[in-house]
Amino acid sequence: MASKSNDRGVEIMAASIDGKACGNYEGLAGTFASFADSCLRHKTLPGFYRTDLTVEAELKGRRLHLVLPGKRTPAELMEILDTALLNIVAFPCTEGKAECFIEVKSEK
Amino acid sequence: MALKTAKQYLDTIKKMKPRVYIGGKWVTNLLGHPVTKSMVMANSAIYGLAEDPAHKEVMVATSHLTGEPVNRNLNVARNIHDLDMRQEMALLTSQTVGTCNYRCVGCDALNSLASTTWEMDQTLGTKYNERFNKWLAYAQANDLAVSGAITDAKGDRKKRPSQQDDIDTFVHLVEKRDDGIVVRGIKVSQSGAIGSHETLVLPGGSLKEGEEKFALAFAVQNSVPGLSYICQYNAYSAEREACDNEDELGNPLYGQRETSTMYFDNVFIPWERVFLCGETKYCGKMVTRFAKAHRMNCGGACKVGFADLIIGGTMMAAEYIGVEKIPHIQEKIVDMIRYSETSHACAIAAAMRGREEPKGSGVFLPDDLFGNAAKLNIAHGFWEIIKNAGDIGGGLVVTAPRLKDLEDPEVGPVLKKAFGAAAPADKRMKVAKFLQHWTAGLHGVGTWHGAGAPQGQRFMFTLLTDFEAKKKMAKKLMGMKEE
Repeated sequence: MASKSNDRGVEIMAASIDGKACGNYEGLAGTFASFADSCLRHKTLPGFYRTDLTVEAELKGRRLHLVLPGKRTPAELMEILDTALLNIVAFPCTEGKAECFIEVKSEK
Repeated sequence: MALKTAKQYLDTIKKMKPRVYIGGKWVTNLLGHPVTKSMVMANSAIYGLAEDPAHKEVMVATSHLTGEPVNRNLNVARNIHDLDMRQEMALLTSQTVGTCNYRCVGCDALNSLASTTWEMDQTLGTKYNERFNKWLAYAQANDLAVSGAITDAKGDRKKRPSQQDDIDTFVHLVEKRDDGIVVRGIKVSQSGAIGSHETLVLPGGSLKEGEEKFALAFAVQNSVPGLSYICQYNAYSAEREACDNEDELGNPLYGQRETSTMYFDNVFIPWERVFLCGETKYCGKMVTRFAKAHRMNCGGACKVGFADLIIGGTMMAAEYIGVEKIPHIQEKIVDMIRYSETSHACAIAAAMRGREEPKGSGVFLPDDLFGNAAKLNIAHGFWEIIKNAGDIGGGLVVTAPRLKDLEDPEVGPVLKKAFGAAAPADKRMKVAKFLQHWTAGLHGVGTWHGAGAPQGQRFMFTLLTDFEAKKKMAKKLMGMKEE
């Protein structure tokens, strides 16, 4: 899972909720690896803890699929994802091409 | 966006959820707990200073990486002026918040990293400096609040890190992966990580061959899973929690000085954030370079800012009871100024005698001897300053009832009679509470140990002083022949 870093040493992550694109986030290169490690090994999102939110996660290359517990609306999922990404020091961005993908779904 | 406003910082912190424990509770909202809030508000005030045109010269620098204006807390000193403004920033921030600039340790840590990673890349052919510069450019572009964590828990001091019964007393490497490393262990007495975006972690001291797993320097996002903060808890924490009006407190908005014990429970750090991993030979240099920067700033400027506040409060206390013109009171105030300004002079000298280290790196560090002199002088001087504040402030500094009691219909009139003097009782009691914050608070021991206990500075004096040269001068003057 070695990350590709551009000249500025950052990476762009594209977020989607229930299959719909909902924005890009920029973090220092390696941020996607941190995020994926949180979900895969710690089973939680940055800024949340196991008791709050246990996530199911699957990583395929640079694409991370997440299923969050509880039936949540896309807006609620987006708020959780936005908080989690901020907690790993990634911020919304409008420029640059995404090289990592985070796909979030609510539990059925 | 290279400079965040105080409001923009607070907007990000409202969403940050580091795993924080204080006084028996886990905190879910940093601004919802009175103690953690005081730390965040202090950081916010530091951001606010950079917005003020009057403080631009001190608080804003130019990034050597991008040429953009950046907060000086994220600046690598590239010349003498940078060093001088860095120590002036420490003075200004202390005068403004009366507690830590919680970005200060991070600033000195990143200067040490800029210098040492450059040297490692030159000597070892590593890519640490390139990595560090990318991290720094990101931190600068987003004006991140970066704190620093240096001191390991250390365990039994007679034993080396690997000999400890529990090696978690030192932060250490658990696993190397393709994408990064996993670390665990404990850093203590850490200032302000809970209200910062990231923390720079450095080795706590020199390491030897065979201790590679403890040789680590990295940047960590403060809310990553596996990282927890157990905050200090003391009488001042309890008082802040219990009071219903913070104006009653000695430092209403910004509190005492908030630290935590950081517990790394198998925390993943991507390689892009790792700036030293296994190179034991460079740990001592990294820590020494951090210390020489921090001793100038912490000892010779930060505590001088505190002293300015204490001297101001002490003079008010003297005026409020009508003793300000008594010679021995004036003499004691002059002594307070002497201790304080001598330390500041050492800090200015450390900046002015600073130099590029190592040659070719472009990184300027303060003079070691003057920086250590600043710290050692204030370590002793600060006790003298608070002693005189307690002396002049009088017993009221520790015997005063609550300010709020002045409003009580039964006891209020009695208190006004008891404590009214050359100024009304409320003014006297307010100043007494302010001086209590300093004289009976955490800052005496904090000043003693912050930037390293004085024994460390004494050791550096013996290391840095050319005793033979001094003997030679004396012999020459005495006409004593060299043997």
